[in-house]
Amino acid sequence: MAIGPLRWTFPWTGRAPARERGEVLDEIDEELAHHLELATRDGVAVGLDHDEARAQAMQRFGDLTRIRRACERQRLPGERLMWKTFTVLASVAALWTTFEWRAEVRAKSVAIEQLKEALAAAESARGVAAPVARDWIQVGDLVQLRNLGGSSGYDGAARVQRDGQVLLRDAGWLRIEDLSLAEARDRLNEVYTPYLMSAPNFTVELLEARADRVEPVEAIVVKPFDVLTVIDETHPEDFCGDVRVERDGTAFLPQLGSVPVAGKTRAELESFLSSKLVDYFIEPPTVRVIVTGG
Amino acid sequence: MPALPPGTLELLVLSVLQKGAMHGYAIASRLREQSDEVLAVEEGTLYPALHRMERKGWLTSEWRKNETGRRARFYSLSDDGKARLVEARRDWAERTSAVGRVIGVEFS
Repeated sequence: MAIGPLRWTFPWTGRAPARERGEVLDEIDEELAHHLELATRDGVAVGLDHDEARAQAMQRFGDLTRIRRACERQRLPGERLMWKTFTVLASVAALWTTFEWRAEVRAKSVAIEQLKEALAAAESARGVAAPVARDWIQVGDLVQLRNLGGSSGYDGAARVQRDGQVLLRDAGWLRIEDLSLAEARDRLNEVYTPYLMSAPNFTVELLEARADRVEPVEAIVVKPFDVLTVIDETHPEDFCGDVRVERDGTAFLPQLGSVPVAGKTRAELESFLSSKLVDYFIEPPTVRVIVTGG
Repeated sequence: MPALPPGTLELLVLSVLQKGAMHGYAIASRLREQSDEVLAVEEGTLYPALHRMERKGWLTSEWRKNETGRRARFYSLSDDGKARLVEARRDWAERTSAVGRVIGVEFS
């Protein structure tokens, strides 16, 4: 059965119905097993015994668990929504704990609090603080992503945006807030598996850690005087640049002219601009917007 | 294996599938043979890529019997995939000829 991009899912969880989900997973297993069988058969044909041939086939195949998971992510895209819901809940829980902890600190020592505020003020005056020893990722951090695997082209630094996501070349937005550096590395290895010819082997480092905590709010909207970096990933040479939102809430963009942008969240703005640009190109545009400052 | 720019795997898969529908193992074997083992893909990584390309509408797949009579998923190019191949090939030619001009090697 061919399963295309328009699959029916339960709207409240984003998951495919259990029966269909099971079928998809079975098909993935069957397909990967088919590959290993043929590879083993070819090994036997050149004189290896069955076990040797199987071991060689497995080695050439790569990490079966990782590959299977990467296939699942492609076949069951709704599962990502599920994961997003989970991380939003986890972020809320983490925030709640932070608030409680802050209240306790205040109660215990006003002096410490004042000192912290003075320090925070000094740090925010400098914009970004010096790197600190911390092994999890927060909003505002600048992270260095580097692939030590075979293929190049995905190395670079990315700023964690207000909603906890970073923009990755080809793979799009990925939420890494509140993940440890090791967890972020695993997520990158997973999302980049479909793009690379050899197993991705990412390293993630904190280049700059932001000292003042910026609360992640999904619903933050673009407002007048924000600066937006707008890129069409499908046609980066034709459509890429920085633009300031005017007092009246519009921004002047190439080809489109003056368009209303204020009051929209980043995700809304991305789909709005993609739909506006669709008439100008053969291949559908994929617009990304980064709110770089106000 | 040499480092290859992003998008290479897609271009290779689309090119191989031009010859007609194939299952994953046949695609991997074809890539290895035609490139004299230079482009030996870590074979498993081909599958998430195939699924992603199908999700993008460049490939279609169906379950059929293979040469030994066993059920296998066969992939073929869709019309979008054919268009994508033309575009990707043109980009590749432009890029390599530009690099060639700089380093003094002519690619035919």
